[in-house]
Amino acid sequence: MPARQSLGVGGIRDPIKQMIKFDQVTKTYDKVTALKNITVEIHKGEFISLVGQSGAGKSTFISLIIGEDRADSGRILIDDIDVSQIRHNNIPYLRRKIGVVFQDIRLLPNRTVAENVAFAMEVSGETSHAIKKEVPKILELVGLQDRENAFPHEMSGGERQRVAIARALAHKPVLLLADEPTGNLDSINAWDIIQLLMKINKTGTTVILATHAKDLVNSVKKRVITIEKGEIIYDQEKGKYVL
Amino acid sequence: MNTIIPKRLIQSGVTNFLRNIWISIAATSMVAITLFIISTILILYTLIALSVQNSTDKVGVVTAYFNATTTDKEMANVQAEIQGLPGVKSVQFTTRQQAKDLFKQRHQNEPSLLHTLDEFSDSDNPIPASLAIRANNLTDYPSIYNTLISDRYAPFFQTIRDNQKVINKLHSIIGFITKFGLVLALIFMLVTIMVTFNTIRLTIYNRREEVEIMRLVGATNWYIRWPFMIEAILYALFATVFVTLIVFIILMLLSGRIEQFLSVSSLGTSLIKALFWKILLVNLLASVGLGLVASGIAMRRYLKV
Repeated sequence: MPARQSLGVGGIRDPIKQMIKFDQVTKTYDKVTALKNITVEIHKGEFISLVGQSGAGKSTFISLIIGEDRADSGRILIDDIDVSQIRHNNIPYLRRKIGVVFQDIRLLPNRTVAENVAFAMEVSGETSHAIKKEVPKILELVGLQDRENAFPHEMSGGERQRVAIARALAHKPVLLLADEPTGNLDSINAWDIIQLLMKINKTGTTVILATHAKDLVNSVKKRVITIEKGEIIYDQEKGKYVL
Repeated sequence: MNTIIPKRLIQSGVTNFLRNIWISIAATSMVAITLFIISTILILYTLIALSVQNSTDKVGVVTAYFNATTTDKEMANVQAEIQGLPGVKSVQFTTRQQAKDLFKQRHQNEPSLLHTLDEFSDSDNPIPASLAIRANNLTDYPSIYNTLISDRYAPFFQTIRDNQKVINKLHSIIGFITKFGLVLALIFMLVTIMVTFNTIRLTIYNRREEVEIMRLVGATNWYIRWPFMIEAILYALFATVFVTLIVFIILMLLSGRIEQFLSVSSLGTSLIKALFWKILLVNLLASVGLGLVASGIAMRRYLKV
């Protein structure tokens, strides 16, 4: 198994291309250590599968990146922003650089597909003109160009997750986080979503896919980081789900 | 880019208001009731102040009645001396004859009294000459009164009457009304804050999904907060317009009676105009202030940003 000591690899890579750096990060919730002294680097344009069983620390990893939680110790650099030191007021601007997709999708039920995507752009003060121009392009990218006027309840689970991905892409993020995006989907829809994420990755967006879907990870054939009990136990290029 | 965000925030606030229209109406009504009470107190206070001013001019006077033995020269000297006392605004001399005429005029419908008075010859006129002394301020009366009852003036005067008691009573009534009004207004303000707080809390609860998503896609804290504040401001605006109109219609309808009560010929358009702006401004400030406090507390407790 070509396990890689991620700590040592940092110097080899071009530091300008560094997207995310966890430097000895520890996070504890009520005496339960969710992440234990994690050090890892993720580079621009990478596709990372973050795997591990439920409760291993995958979601903590993601919530630290988007500033939802603060690390107890260590540094987290996202595109040269130190998230562990970021001021509360600046978190929204960090989040406009990062797209997030969840297992429970979280669409606004009383808005159409196009309005759900537009919502993300409205929030950051994009003009109505720009929104009108951009939304169809994003919907085309996720393959929903014909469903822009549909409401979430009229769509399948897979389609809804595509809308969520479209919304996450609305700010043209440099980083896309997907936390168990296929958790509620059948295997065909799940594979479609993974392929969509890979397609987005090809456009240059860094993608982190947190999942415990073994088959999916194995067919992606990209870098796999395995977390168990809050620690990175494997970090492999073109890895496999090994737990 | 500059106007698009405020536009969206206002739109969002209006949507909040309309989505739970009945709850919004209830909250607006509560704000309106409080404003109504505040307006009423303000009007009462203004009218009472006016009436006090009127009555102070009438009752706020110390009257010193000369002895029958005091000579005209002494009277003139005393008048000049009192004129020079600190705090004295005016001294008006009433001769015995003038006092008698005034008495006759006042009691013209009481023939028995007039008849009794006519029993006296002009030289035996029992009604004394007097000085009516007015002060610059109400607070000057006690010291003037004390000077007049001092030994210096004792030989000239038989009686000195001041209206301090009446003035005091008037003041305690105003004081009571003011205090009562303020307490009442305070109670209603608290209730309004609670009702508005609860309504905003409900809106926050109804919109929790939307707020969660807004945070995820990078909405700033103020972008999330403003719609809730705008909702509270809308309650305030509607209540202010409604109450100010109602209060003025009532004031117009009652102006005749108020004039009668205050025994003034007319309240005057300038007073009404001033009152209108005062009420509009006070209502607006009070309601917007209450709304912002209430929504502020609700957001602090229930809106995670």
